[in-house]
Amino acid sequence: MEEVDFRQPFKLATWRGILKYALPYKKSFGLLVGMMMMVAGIDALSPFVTGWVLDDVIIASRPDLLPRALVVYLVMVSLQAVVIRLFIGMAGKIEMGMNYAIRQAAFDRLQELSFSYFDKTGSGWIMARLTSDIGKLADIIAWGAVDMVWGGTMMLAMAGLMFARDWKLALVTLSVVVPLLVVSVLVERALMERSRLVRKTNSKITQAFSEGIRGARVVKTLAAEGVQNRAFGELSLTMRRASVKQARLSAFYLPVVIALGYVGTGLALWQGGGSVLAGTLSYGTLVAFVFSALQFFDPVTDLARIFADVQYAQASAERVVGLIEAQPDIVDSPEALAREKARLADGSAVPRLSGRVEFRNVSFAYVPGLEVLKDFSLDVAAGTTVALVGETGSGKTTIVNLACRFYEPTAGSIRLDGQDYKELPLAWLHGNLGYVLQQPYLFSGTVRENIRYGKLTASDAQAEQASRLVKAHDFIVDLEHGYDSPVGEGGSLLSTGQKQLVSLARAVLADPAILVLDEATSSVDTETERLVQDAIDLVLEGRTSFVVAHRLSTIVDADLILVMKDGQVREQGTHRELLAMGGYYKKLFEAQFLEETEAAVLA
Amino acid sequence: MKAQHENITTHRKTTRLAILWQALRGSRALFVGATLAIGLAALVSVIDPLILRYTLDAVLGGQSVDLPGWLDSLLERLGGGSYLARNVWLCGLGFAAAGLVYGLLMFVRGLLASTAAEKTAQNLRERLFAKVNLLPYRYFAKANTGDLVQRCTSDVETIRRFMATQFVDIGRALALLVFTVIIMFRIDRGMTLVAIPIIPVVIVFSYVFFLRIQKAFAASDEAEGALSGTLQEILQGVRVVKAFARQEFERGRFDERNRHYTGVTRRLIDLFGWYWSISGWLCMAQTGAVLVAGALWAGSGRISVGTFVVFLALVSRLMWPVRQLGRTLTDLGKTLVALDRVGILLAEPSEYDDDGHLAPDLDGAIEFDNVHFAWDAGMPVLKGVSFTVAAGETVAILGKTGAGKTALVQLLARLAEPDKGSIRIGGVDIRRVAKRHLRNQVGLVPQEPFLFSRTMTENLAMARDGQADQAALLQAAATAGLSGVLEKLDKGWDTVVGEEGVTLSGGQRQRAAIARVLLKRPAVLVLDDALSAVDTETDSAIRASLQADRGGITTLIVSHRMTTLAAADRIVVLEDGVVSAIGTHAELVARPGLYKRVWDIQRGLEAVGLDDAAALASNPELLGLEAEADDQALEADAAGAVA
Repeated sequence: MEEVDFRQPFKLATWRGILKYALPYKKSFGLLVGMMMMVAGIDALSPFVTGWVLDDVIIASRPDLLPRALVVYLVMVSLQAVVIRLFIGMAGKIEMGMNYAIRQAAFDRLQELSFSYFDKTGSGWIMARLTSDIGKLADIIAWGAVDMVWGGTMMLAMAGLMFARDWKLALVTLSVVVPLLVVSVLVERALMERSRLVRKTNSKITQAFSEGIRGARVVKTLAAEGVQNRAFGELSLTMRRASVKQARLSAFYLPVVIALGYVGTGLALWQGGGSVLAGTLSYGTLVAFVFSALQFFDPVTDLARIFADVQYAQASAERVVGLIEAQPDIVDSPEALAREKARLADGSAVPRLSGRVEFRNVSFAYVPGLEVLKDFSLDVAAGTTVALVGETGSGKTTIVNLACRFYEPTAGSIRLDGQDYKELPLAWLHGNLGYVLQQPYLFSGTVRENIRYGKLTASDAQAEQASRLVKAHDFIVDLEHGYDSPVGEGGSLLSTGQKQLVSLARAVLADPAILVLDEATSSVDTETERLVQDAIDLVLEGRTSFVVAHRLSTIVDADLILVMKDGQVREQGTHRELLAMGGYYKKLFEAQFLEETEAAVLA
Repeated sequence: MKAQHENITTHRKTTRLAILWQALRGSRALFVGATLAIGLAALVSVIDPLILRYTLDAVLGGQSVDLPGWLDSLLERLGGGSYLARNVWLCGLGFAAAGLVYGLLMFVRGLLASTAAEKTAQNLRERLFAKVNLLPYRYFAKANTGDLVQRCTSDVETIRRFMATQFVDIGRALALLVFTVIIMFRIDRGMTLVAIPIIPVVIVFSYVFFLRIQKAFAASDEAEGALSGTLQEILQGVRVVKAFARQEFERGRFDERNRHYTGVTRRLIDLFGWYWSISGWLCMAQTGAVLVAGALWAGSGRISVGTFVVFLALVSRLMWPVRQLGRTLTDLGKTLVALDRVGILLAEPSEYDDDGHLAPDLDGAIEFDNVHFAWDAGMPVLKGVSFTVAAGETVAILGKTGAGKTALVQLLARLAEPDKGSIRIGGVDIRRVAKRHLRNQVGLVPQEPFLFSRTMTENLAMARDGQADQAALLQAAATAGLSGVLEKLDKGWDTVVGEEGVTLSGGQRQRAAIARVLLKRPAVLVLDDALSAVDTETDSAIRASLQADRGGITTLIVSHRMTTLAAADRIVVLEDGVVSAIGTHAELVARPGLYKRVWDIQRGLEAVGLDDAAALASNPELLGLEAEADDQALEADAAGAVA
């Protein structure tokens, strides 16, 4: 959790970035403001209606006016009820509409952002922005407006009515507003300060729970419950102390507002009572003033809360705007964009690449200054299978990331079919690219939907053909609903091997010129393993492929092996050439061979 | 069936209350105080309208007002209405004073209730945290961390918020209702009958609304869950989405969920719109009835002007808490759900429900005696395992995936209990040994170690209840091969590791976990494939330094590595839930079996040469099958020889 400094000044630019999404609701906002003013107006008027009844009906002994008063009151009340229903619906529409639009905008931006963004930003962080932060902002804008317009209008209207009736009495009655303002400002400031510690501690508590749960088994084996509980006890005590300190201040504020309201009413009673006795003020007016004074301070605590909320929400706004306005590192050049537009205008398909990939003096750094690839050149003819081997973190994925243009070289160029891939629209490259993770990622949905992910326009027959080709068809028809069986979240209803076969069928259907295959480190049961292996061979055939390889058979059969170590290409060649060199590859191969054969025995 | 259901329902209700009651420990008096304060505040808040009435009728209107005797005589002594008429400020002062007392009582209520609610939340949090540590080891195999964290944080927060505000406010609504109706009756019976009939209607309406809104809330929560789920999925599969250029497709999917959530939540808000609108109308109608009847009767002189005003004031003051009822019930519903969710976790059986009480030295021989065990009933993993580890001996365990190696070592630390059979250390059945004592003596290092987001020092010192001296730390680190790792870290021992800190590699984490266990100076050391992520050479070096440092300590090592296995005093081979072979390396390679097969692979590599190995690699199971056939032949030979 990042710390947020709530004392920062109000940032208009940030809020403008959010309020942009309120623009489509300009009309609704106008209506909402109008309705709130009406509600507030009726609220402000009602003490004076009572006063009027008192003076002109009761004291003036005009019971004949009563039916008229009754009708007016009923109309007012019914109008109020209708408006309440309407304004809540309207505020809901604005809140949820903005909620929807901001979330969709953030999502769209996420789809455009390059890989580097996701490497730097955890999915938990992104989730929090798209759910709670956006929710908070829409809430405060829609309902904050409701409360503010209502409160503001009611107080102004009431003050207006009071001043119009008897400005001296109004002045006396409302004199308590001055100390109220002073107290409000002081309390709010102190509250902000105190709630900072509460929020900070709260996020620490959440983290302690999350870690405590995941680490509970270790705690048990170490019999370290005592240390754990003590550490948490300290945190929990800090939390209580901080919260009580904050709560004390809140508990103080509301009564102060209430008491000041009574003091104002007491002043009205004193001054007004005197005037009534002196005959300069009517009973009705006095009662109207007393009721008004009691009602006048109702919105104060709400208003104070909104000011605080807006300040808290500024941090949310900054993060959300930051996400929406984040610039993707990799975008189409103007020329590429023009080509893509022309293609879309034609309605023609993405042109097919032959699959020749050249790395020309490519250098690359994830972090500026820390080069992980230096002056790397390689010409991969169409249809070649390139295996990348090396330990975890040795840089195999760097090559893949560059080839897929998930990242771009910091120096040098990568050419596809002879032209720099920066000149090609991204859509063309990705339209020619297949990506198979052997820790395969399936989306919740049916088997068919997942296969068709490779080519959304494919017919059922084509999808089936693809799955027959990778021999996934047999297991699929054996599933309860065949191709319409759900795969579960992340594919959890299928076994690992089955998921692999589905993801291979997906890749076959896409029929890419260039295929990237990220093999799994751990093997599945031998029977499926065999099926998967055959399917992989089939998929690799005849297309350029980059394989982050773990299986010996894949490595041995590759046309070219790149041996990676510490981010560098240490050795390259065919299996036999590399073995003959007797270098790092040989060692890696021996270790892998041992592991695999042992695994075969021990599985 | 129905009776049973009712039973469960009552049971749930009692556990909810029990949980709450326990959580209220240390804050019950505060809640009572807060409730008293708010009750008094409710009482005071019906007094100020009376001051208003007296002022209007007696002071300004010169009429007589029936007051309680003592108050009447007090006012008479002062000079009655005419005295106050000369000093109207006294009425204003009285009104303001009532407000100040009311404010003061509200302050006391706020202070007490929030202090009490914080204390309650603290109790709940600490109980939950302690509970997490008490849950049986196997609970975590299927636990959903996100859901558990939610129970411990947001559910507690829901309870806290309710306790801090609405819990005592229910008392206020009731007190206010009672006091108001009493005062009203004492002032004027007829007006009272006009002033209260709609109140029960509002209460019933609120209850009906509460029942309806539950479903809408559930639908909105569900839609939000689906939205987050989809988002999470897309974020996790972002590589696939990008590589297949399926941004548009995903956009559509997300849009659908987003739209659904928006729609469902708008319906929820609309429902609230109806609620506030209708309840508002009802309340205003009630005020209207008072206004009209009061005006009629005041006009005819049946009641005084003051009575008319006081009824208006009382009714409008009563309406707000009544109208809040729907909201309060809704929040109460959420709080009860939160209490249930917390309660389910707290009601889980505890690890120490079944604990021994002995604390003997555990440096004797370890005997596994006909041990049976199943993680899930009906799927036995160990089916009668018996073997003995002599004191000071190092025994390695080899077995196929799922053979029950991990179960075996976990049984030794009583992280699970055998279904049948027993385990003895130094002749004492470990069931009779206190679990904490046992785990302090049996140092188990799991395959996938967990480090907390704390400094290295803190992570290691955990093993010694947070108190480990520098020398012990340095020695443990040196033995576990962690010193080199520490040197590479920016802040050495003070480096924060784990999620919030520096990410260590699997091998580095494993070394830290071994050092941590060594700090305990256990009598028995158990390594459950605990060096799988370090390379073979480092593995050997660590084992050598372990031997040098802790020579003579009884050691159990689960491993696949031939070098590790061969270096042990004896090797136990687990197959199909029983010990299929046991002996020294020399003994086991001399007879057919799993151990020999693994050994042959290693030797085979040297014998056949790498080129042929490559050919084999293309078809690795060939080798396994051959070995199997080989074994059978050998076994047949052996059988023949015996015959």
